[in-house]
Amino acid sequence: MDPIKNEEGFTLLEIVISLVILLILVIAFSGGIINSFRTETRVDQRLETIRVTNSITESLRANKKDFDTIDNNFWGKIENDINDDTNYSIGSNNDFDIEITHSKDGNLYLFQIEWTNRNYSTEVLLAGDE
Amino acid sequence: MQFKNEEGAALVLVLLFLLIGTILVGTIITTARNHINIAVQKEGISKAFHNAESGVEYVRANIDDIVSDGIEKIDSEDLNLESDNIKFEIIKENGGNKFTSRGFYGTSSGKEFKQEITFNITYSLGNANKTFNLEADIEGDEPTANEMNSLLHSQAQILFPTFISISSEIKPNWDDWEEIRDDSEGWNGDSNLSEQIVTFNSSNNGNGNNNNKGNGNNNNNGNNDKYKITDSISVKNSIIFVDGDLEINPHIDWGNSIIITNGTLKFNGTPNSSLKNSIFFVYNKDNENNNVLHTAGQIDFEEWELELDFEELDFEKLPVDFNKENSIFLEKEVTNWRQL
Repeated sequence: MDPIKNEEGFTLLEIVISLVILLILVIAFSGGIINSFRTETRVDQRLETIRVTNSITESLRANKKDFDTIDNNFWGKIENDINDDTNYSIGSNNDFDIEITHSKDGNLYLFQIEWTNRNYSTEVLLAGDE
Repeated sequence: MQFKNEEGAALVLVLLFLLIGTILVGTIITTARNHINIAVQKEGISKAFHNAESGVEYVRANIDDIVSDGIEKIDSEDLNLESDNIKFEIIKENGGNKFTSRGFYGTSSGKEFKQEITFNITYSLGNANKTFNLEADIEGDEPTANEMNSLLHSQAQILFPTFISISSEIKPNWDDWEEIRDDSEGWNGDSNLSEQIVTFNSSNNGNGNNNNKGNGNNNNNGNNDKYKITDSISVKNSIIFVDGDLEINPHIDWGNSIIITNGTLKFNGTPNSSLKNSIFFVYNKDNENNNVLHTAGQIDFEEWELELDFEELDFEKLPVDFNKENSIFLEKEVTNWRQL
């Protein structure tokens, strides 16, 4: 029997069975695959959150001289510093994507940066510019 | 016969697909897990770093207290602000002014992150490196620098503006100086000159105390004691504290010294010697309670300016007694910030 001239092929039954098994496999794996993609999206978002939060911290550090008048203008300035391709709204109540509250003790300011729609918050102390 | 046919390759193919699928999905899941770990790591390091930086900022905000109290260790529990997440400790290294701020962050799964920043606290005159530093202590609103300048100018006739600048950066009160003086053992070391003219020298310099002792003529006249330094001497690395008026002749060679007087300061003519890195603090008040700098004789400030060569005071060369107590005087700064 010359294999090249063998014209028998698969039977329909064989193909149907293998397709069914493959389908079962794909369904079985799909959970994992979809989960992995979701995780990747979340990780990506998390890294972005960390990056933007770090930028906010640096921007606050650069604006130490204005700590005695923290108002909407101040937050607008921080917002301008951060937003480039993306647009985050930054302010001091939970209408914003990023809510920043602050308290002070003498010349020491505590900023609490919280992402209202992502489970992320961080705190940082900064000394005002006397 | 059909089920006994063992020629097909379907099983092998299915197993092969299964293997490839498993490898693919396994890779995807492993990659995702790795990315989670990276994110967790990055978040942990970032938050621990913010905590360490918060420690440095705490020092920046409380630098005066930290220096004057000589605090060896600071903890985030010392914070008066309500914060659950900021955790740092600051430790003073043995000797010198080197500090390490450690920031900590723990994840909910129990992973601990630590970041360290080292820094120094250094002392400097900042930008207040001025020849005359006059205390503005006028009742009511504090005068602006311009008002103070014109006030001084009107009192002192023609004074080259360079030499009269009101420093808001370094402006110890007379009381602060007295406190420094009284706290430092050496200030009252010489019974003859106690609280009058006291000069301290660094050990490698023969000028100062002896010279001033010899040349300080104590003439009690009116409200203020008056002291004269008349000889051509050299005052180097010294601190002269005058509880009264001070009159000095123009031939004195000043170098790296601090001269504090609560009375008038009189120069009898244009100083013809150098005035290097020295600061005069004059706390004189006239009848109307204004601070006044007195000059006597003809002073050609433009000529004098040529002689001046100002660098910052070298505090290392000043008497040790003063260095112990210099916290009021100096501008303190966090420097040499370095992430480990």
